[in-house]
Amino acid sequence: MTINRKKYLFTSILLIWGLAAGMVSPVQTSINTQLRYAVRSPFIASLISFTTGTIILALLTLIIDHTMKMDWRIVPQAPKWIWVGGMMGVIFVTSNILLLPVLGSALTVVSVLCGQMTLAMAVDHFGWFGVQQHKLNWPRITGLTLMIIGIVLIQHF
Amino acid sequence: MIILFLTGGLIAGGIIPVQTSINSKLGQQVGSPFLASFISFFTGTLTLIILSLAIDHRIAFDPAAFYNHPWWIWIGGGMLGVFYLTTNILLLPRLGAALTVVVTLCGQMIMAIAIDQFGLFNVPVHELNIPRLIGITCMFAGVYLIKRF
Repeated sequence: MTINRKKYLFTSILLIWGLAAGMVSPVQTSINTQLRYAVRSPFIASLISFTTGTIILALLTLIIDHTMKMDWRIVPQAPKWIWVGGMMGVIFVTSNILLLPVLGSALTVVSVLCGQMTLAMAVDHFGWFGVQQHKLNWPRITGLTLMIIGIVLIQHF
Repeated sequence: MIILFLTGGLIAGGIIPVQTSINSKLGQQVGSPFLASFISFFTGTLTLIILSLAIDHRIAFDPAAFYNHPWWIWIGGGMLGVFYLTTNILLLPRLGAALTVVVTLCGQMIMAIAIDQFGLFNVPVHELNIPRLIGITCMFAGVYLIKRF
């Protein structure tokens, strides 16, 4: 019983943490847009954003892990695709900047979010990339539909 | 033509859960979520240097921009990006891909509504109304269903 309550509390903390991380995202976009006008290039703005992020993470890793060493033997052993996450971040940031003027803010957000949720469900359903498998079921599909309705309502009104 | 751009948006969005899953795996392999975030940002930086040189033929900018703009535009985006990415890497193995994405989306929409409501960051004021409230309620109901089942 107490173990269940502890687990519930832990999950709730994780969910609130996720909420906070999501709240940061539109603020980041607003800041990066100002940076884009300051340096007059969306690519250089992204570059500055990524460079400061890299420096902050070097400090953070040193403070928390006390080392930045890694076992280089994992390079030949681990799957090749684990190294391309950074490139995907670049595609995401750049696409957003390029699509916004063409599609407008509402359509950009809705299409990006639909892609996001559909792929997230697929990753769980098939257990891709070593994620624990979680099959699609009717309540999850209903949840997904509700989310899309909610997003459309917020974007439309 | 619009279909093409919408597909672009779908692909850009679809990349996020894939990226988070890949980064989580990287975190397991290198034994630290922070080192994984670092590698992800570092390779992203290298990609952007090449991209800026290829498209803009420069990576420099007018230093006068430092005096004409608030200081936080230079570090704000990177700091918040670090928080977002590292949180995703830490949460995904515990919450699963769907729930991680969905809960950050809720935070995103709440903040977007708050920015509109108060006209933060020089955005025109757009007040909260009933359809927007229903929309937020739908999103939370969706999160509940996805979390519960």
